[in-house]
Amino acid sequence: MFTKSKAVSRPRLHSIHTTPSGKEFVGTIESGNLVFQFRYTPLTAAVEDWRLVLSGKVTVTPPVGKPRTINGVGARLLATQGATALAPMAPAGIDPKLVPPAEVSSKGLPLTEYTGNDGSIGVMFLRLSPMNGTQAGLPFDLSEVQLNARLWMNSDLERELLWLYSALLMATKGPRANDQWATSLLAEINKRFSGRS
Amino acid sequence: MKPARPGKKYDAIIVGSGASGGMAAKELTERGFEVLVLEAGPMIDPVRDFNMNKFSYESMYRGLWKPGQKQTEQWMQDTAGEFSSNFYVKDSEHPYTTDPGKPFTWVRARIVGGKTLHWGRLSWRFSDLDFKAASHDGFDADWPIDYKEIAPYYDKAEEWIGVSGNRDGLWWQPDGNYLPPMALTCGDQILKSATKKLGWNLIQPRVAMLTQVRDQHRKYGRAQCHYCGSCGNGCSVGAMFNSLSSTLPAAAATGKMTLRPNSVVRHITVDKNTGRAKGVAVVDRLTRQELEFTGRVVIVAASTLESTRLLLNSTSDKHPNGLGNSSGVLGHYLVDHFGGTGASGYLPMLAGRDTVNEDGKSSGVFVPRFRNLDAKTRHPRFLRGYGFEGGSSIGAFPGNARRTPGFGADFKKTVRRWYVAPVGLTTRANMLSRFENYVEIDPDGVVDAWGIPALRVHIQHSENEREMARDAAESATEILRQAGAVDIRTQNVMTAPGRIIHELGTARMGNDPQTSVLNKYNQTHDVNNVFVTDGAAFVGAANQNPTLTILALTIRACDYLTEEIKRGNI
Repeated sequence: MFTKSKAVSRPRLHSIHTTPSGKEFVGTIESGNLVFQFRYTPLTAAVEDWRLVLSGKVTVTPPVGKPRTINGVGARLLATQGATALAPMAPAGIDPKLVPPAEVSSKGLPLTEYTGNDGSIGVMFLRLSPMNGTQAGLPFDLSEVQLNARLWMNSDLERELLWLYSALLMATKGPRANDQWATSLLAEINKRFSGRS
Repeated sequence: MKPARPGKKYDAIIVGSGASGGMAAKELTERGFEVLVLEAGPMIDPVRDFNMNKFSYESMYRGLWKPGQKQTEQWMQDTAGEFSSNFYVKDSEHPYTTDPGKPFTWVRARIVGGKTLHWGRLSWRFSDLDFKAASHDGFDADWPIDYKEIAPYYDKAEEWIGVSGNRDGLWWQPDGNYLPPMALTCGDQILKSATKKLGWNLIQPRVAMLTQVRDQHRKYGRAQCHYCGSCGNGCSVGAMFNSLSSTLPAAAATGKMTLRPNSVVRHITVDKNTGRAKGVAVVDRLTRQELEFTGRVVIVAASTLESTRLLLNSTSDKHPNGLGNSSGVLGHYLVDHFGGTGASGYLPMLAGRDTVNEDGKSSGVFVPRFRNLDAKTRHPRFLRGYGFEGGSSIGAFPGNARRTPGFGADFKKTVRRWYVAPVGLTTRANMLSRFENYVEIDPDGVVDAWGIPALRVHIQHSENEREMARDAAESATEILRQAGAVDIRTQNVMTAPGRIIHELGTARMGNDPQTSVLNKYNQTHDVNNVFVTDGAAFVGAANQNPTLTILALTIRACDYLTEEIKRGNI
């Protein structure tokens, strides 16, 4: 996940692969034989310039020793990869106005699997900043590190967040992007981040 | 084999070791070229790493995925199972991005041998109905070559890889020189009669599997197919064509090939004065060491989209939009075949029969295109056409149990009765090449695990594909009805682009440098010492599997390249 760079003294870590654990994104970072546990805990979600921006903290746990925590780390959505799998159902009780409109084929022609409303996000690619390798106790340059958040569902919260992130993507980047729609979805996401859903 | 030397100037650097890269290595080394083959993935040892002789019951997961692996690491690798997952990339290290609500499945095999280790083996020629499709229906552009020009190279490719099949005499599905065909099953014969009654054809698939071993196969230890049926787990006897057991050993035998695995090519390096290629910049996948190799010619054969990504990432003062992209066409006209639509059911005349081993040949049947061949077969609602793959054979597992209601002794009896009688047809259809389906370097800066800019894919089906899909679903159902099938289920959902793993185009060939990336010999119009020999070069997808055409184009490009060097033009 890293390359040896001539310009900086530390090798650059390009990306961290994570999967959800509740609202958090967890993964590992390998350095030689050492494996560090990585955790990003989003605390709030916002939309800036039609992009999801999370704010939260990073916790890195070394194989030996105490975890290090960096507060105030932003995770700005760069882009997404669409899933080729069944999309989750909308969370129970969600306002029907927040559900993206269904894909309709003119003349009743066959549709493509996992597209439009039948689709969801497979991976979110986010840029973490500010990130400092020394502060995290990692031997890497983390100045441009990318958080690859592979979304899949093991729990109701993960399922709901996947649905909400996917709907928010349509509300911010889809053909019918709409500020009000995005704001309402953000409120739902923040409710779940604060444990109030 | 010799280790790769950064200081040495190779006659040719080949990026990729799959169908095209392997064939280019063979062709060029046999002509005396010193060749460096760079493969992004690891070396593989068939004896150690192939799982051909593993029976699914040996596995804790019955040949399926280890729990969690698909969800976390290889979620796009739909054709892989536990016994073949080592052939595929970890998606977590190889990102790409898509438009909201428009997914694309990009299945990749970064490994020595590439996707030939697990490909479907169907080896069809294209005809002038495909090469000159625009002249037939007025849509898009013709290829800059015709069938007559490429036919001798199809002959060479078929002879080398070994294709079993019949000469069926269909002008739009040209015949080659084949090894004996694999027999149809009893159910396949019933389907064949039904298809004939409808005025269509059903033929034995032409597959790159040795039903007979000839000298050129024996020389490199390839053996006859023994019908074990686990081609997708790697064929360690070389009965199924793959570059690891065929073209790469031939290249190695010349003593002229250096193969360097774990070499991820970042970009093509160019001479800043002339803009011509100098070589390639590489990062070692394991050590992360940055390296450069130089060569007289660079052959890009990294698979359709990896090749285009490499060209797009090769920006310089002389090539600000990517190497070979002065036309602005690089990345555009992306296509994949689509499937998903079709029909399945049961043949009652076979129900309750004794079980026999029918899944060993793993080739099925093929219904060649029957729409828009001529004025008589013109369809009023769509252009081009589709074929069907499928057949009727007993598999290792009673898949029908999943859709059989009930439980207990009666359930088992019902499952046993119908397990021996399945039948199905699935579509392989032509997606139109359209400028608006394209790839670009992700504009938001997403990178892979080595910091190399990733692709963003923009693709969706048009109404032409949807009309074709509806017709295909109806036609498949009609064939099954005609065959007397029962419990027929019509499938009406099209596969997401990429899922058939026939992604093609994005560096199309053509005569006009303003509207194409490559000339008719796979050479970039802009830089005469860079060739792109894989599926990226395709102008259109046709509806046939593309690998045989990729192999034929590669041999042809190597012929041309050799002559151009002799003439002093490169």
